[in-house]
Amino acid sequence: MSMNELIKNLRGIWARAYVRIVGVNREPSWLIFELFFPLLPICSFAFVYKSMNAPSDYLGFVILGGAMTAIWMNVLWGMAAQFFWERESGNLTLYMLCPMSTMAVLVGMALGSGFSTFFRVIITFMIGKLIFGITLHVASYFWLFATFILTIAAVFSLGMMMASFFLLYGRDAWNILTVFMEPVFFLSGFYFPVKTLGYPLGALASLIPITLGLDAMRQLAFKLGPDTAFLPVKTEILILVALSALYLAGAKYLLKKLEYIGRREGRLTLRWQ
Amino acid sequence: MAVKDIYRRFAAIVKSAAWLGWQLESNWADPWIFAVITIIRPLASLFIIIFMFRFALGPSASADFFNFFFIGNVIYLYVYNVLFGISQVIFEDREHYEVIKYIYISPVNWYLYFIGRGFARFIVASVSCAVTIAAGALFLPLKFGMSAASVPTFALSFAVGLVSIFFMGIIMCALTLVMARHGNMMSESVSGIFFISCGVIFPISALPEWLQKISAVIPVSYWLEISRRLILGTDKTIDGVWHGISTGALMARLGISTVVLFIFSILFFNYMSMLARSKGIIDRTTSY
Repeated sequence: MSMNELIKNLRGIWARAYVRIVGVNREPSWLIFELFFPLLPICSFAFVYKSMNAPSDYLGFVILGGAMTAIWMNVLWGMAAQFFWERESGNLTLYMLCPMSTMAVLVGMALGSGFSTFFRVIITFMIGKLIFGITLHVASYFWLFATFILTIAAVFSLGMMMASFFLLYGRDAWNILTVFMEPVFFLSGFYFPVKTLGYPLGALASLIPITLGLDAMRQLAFKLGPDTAFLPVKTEILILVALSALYLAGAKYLLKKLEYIGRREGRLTLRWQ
Repeated sequence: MAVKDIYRRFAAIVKSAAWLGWQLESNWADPWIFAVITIIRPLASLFIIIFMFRFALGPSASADFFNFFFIGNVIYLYVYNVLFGISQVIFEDREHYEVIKYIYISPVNWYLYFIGRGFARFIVASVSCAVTIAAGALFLPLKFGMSAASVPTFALSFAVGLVSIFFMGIIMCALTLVMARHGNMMSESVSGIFFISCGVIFPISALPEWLQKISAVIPVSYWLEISRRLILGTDKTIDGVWHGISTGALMARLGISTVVLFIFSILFFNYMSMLARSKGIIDRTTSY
């Protein structure tokens, strides 16, 4: 890639990320719906533990897991399904016409979404922590923050890979995405430690980066976290790095392949599929 | 026009809308893929709670807890699907397929059209419900004790509770008519509010007192408590909020609140339709 091409792609990345970063400031109503809405299931699941007189760290597990749902929802509907909306509104064709790689669009989307989601997760967690009076016992703020960032990176890489399918598919892929909500909340242990699932199922669930990210963060942030550990924190961090690289490479490969098929079959401009 | 003709006409509108809704829900996939997708989400929701119980209580989890959350979870499938489904129709017809103006100018009663579209979600919810019950029977230590004498009361409470959700769905739908962007999130949020405040997966008595008072006037709360009592064959559940209130009194509350909702939904829907028309936003698309 020449320097000129690199600059164009970097500009493309910034342009796509800019819309998402600035969009947050220009849409204050998101505060109500994107902070308030995720709090509802979080509170419900926290009340389940409360009704069982469970230790307060369990409520903390739920609040952290619930806050992390913002990342997963954003990956599903803000990343993976984004090309579906772009095609419906006619923007996808414009992306293809731009003198840059489609990968730059995806990276820009991921960076923009990652930025806004980062704050959403932290704010949602802090509100939940305040409501239920959770006490944190952080083993290492550095590693907690590093794990959080790595989790976001790995999950958004997976989202980029999933997004490429929407170059070909329409309503079917959109509907299939809905299957990745509750089943993933279950498998990734959003509301209980993944160790409860047992090692074979937990290992399978580890393909979704949020599973290991959540487990590591619980170990680092709560007193009872290490008692419920699925794997040691360092191992989980290494796997997260590997998954980020794997999914990024997968996204690049799939995007190229599916874009080619989409062009050949004339499906890039197909609406109301 | 005779009453019989009016009934036939209304039934035809609901039937056509329900058929259209069903086609939209299901025609994008092979039936088996659609079936898998329909059952996998409620099953996962069920397993989330089962594993929460398993994690927090271990083998000591009592059947009372399982019975309580299981019945709540099954009934909530209808609440979520119908409530969300009816208000979603506005988005599908207005923003996605851009056909709402054609439906508006056709000789159908709009209110009934949306009720009909809600029926498709009712069918989806019923399939999910059947699968959840089968899974519950297999994996959970459930102990149901419904007597034969309770079956008619249960059927009546189920019908009234369901109808009240349709009316609430119409109210959401009416609000969505004048909302550009957030109607979608609004119906999700309202479903979420019901999930937390109506004692779906935990007793209302676990909520703060001020919230308990609000919870005790929502029809869904009555519906859940009546269903639990009748299915379990008891006159009180583990939820202390309802102790001292008879099942008959709860039925009366559910019936009265449903009638109030029916009247309000008609008035509110007509007002919002007029408002949307006067503002010229019935067929507005926002590409959002």
